[in-house]
Parts: sequence; structure tokens; C-alpha cells
Amino acid sequence: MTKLIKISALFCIAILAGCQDSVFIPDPLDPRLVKYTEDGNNASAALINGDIWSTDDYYNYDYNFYESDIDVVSYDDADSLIITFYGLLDEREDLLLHFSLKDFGIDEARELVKLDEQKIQLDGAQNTAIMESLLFDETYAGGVGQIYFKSVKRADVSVSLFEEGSVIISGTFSFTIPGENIEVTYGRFDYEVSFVNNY
Amino acid sequence: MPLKIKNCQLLILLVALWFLGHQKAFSQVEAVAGLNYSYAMNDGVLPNQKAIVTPTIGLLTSFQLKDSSIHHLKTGILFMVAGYNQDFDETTYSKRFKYLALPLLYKLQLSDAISVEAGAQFRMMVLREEEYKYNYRREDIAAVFGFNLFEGNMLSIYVNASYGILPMVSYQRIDEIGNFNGKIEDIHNTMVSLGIKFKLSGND
Repeated sequence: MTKLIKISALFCIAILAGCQDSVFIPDPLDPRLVKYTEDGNNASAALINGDIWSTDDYYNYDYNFYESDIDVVSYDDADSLIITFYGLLDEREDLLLHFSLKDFGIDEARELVKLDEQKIQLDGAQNTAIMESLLFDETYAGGVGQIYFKSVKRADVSVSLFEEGSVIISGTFSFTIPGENIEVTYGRFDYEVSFVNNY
Repeated sequence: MPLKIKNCQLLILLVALWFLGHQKAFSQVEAVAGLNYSYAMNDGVLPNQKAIVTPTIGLLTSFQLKDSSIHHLKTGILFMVAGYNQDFDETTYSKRFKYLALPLLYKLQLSDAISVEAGAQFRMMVLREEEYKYNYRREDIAAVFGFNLFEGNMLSIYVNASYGILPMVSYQRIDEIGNFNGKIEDIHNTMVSLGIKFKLSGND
């Protein structure tokens, strides 16, 4: 699956990417997590086997070669979509969470609104989650669980960070990697993604 | 933020000066200093919560009602800190909510040594950290019940319990899978307070 991701990165059409400072508002119930918002705060967090994974300060992380918090990539003529959240596990391990979704017909950023209120079951094959540790150069594929796009909406032009327009995607996720004893829970995300390709 | 600090200090100073300047109009004026055992009452949505001890200071005054020596109305201004800690692994996350409070209490003098009181405190959160502006209600109304010992003396003791009626947080209830199950609106400031009062002026 690592190869798949690398090949995808070579051949896919990167339709958009976000790379701006995040607003990390602690969750009022569990302050390790980010609060669930729908404001385009460019933040994400989850518990991975009980340890905190979050985007807090990731953009300022010394080894953030990608200078990004999120990638949304469409390839194979809108047949497949990969959404990647960048973050740190326990504030030190560079860890990416990929969500590979198929047959949603999304070819450009403005079409992300098709995901609005979609609760997608990750079956480990058609739709799946992948965890990639850059520190240890390890990838765990076949994640089974759920990603819920609770709100996907056009950003208000007056508050958008991007002149060309943008979409705010907000939701939750959780999954397990069968056979790897990896459990991701309490995941939530809130990003503003640009209509234009930043790469 | 520095401007707000000055505003709060100015407000407290003005109220204090007004109290001192009008002290003859009141039955009694007292300075208050105490400690609160503070936590947030909830139905288990705040994991690993620990109560904390916080301070209260302020000024109180009481009026006799209908020339009665046993029925009083008590008000004043208090500065208090509420909050709680949450421990995760080896990290403690602290919440400290600073309130200016206006108490409005009915006091019944049971004997020379003992009085009981009940009423409300109208609270406004001040000196808020940025996070608190997003997450916590600024106003609170607390139900208060307590009693006083030796209140006519120069030094007296008070004990009271207060419960914030307004929910501190209005937030989505999200389970570990990521499903939304309504709203959480049952987190309430709760304090048990113990302190001393120093009589600045007043009739015995």
C-alpha cells in the first residue's frame, strides 16, 4: 500500500491543498483533543491507542517538509479520492492519516460538497483508512471504521483565506487496522481547502 | 487584555469606595476572604476530573428588613475563582474561571451566634483566556445556601454551597466512533466555600 500511495502521488492530479496556520481550540471535555468546529480552523485530532494525535503546531513542526496540514487528491478521472491529515503522535512522531474513498465522482475541490452529511463506512477495501508513520517509515493499510463528513460547505467569501474560493470540510472519524492492534477513536477534523492547486 | 484588568480593578475599587462611603446606611459591611472547593458537576462527560481549591475575596453588606433584627437582605461584590483539573497520563489540564459575582441573599438570624442565608449569585466571567471565550458561557447564576457563625463579631466564619444553574458548556455529544448524539448541557459550576469575614462597620 505504501507503493500505491507513492505511485498515486506521482500520477494523480492534486486538486487542492491547504497550508495555513491552524486554530487549535481545545475540546471542552477532553482538552487533549481539538474541539469539533465547522469554521475551517485547519485542525484535526484523534486518540490512537489512547495516545493523542493532533495537528496542533504541526505546521510549525521542524520536519514538516510538506508545509501542509491536509491534502485532498483526486485521480483516475474522479474515481478515487484520497484525503490526508498531517499530524504528530505524542507531539513527536510524524504520522499521516489517509482516507481513500472511491466512486464519489469528485474531480475538483468545489465538488467536495457532494460529501456533505455523508457517513461513509470504511470497509478496508473500497473505502479505507491508512496510517503512515514517516518517522518509522511504516504504513498500515486496510483501516476499517467510519469517516463522517458532517458538514461540507462553501466558505463565506468574506472570511475565506483564499480569494479563489474554498470549501470547509468538517467531521469525525474512527477506525481500526485489523491484525495490527491499532485503534483510532474520537477523530475530528475541520479544514478550509482552496479551490486552486497550491502545488 | 491589560485594559480589561484595569477595568475590573477599577470596578472593584469603585464599589469598595462606595461601600465605605455609605457604610452608615447599612446594617453591616464586611470584607470577605475564603477558599472554595470547586469542581464541575456533570454526568460523567468530563473524564479524570479533579476538584481544586480556589480563592474568594470581596465585600458584603446586609440590610435589616422592616426594622426586624432577624430578617436581613445581603448583597455586595465578590471576586472568585472556580474551575477544576483534568489529569491525563502525567499531564494536568487546568481550568480556572474568574468571576465577578453579585450576591443577593436572604439572611435569617437564628441566634446571636448563628445565621443562615440563601439566595443567588449573579456571576460574570472576567479575565478570560482565549480558549474560554470559545468554550464556556460567560454568565452564570448560582443558587447559594450557607450559614454564618459569630457574624456580629469583628471576625466571623461563613460556610456555603453554591451550584451554577446555567450550564457552563453547550457542546456536541460525540461518541468515540464519531457519531453525534445530541448536546451536552449539564456541566455546572459547583463550590463549597469556607472563609472568614472581617467587620468593617455596622450595628451589632
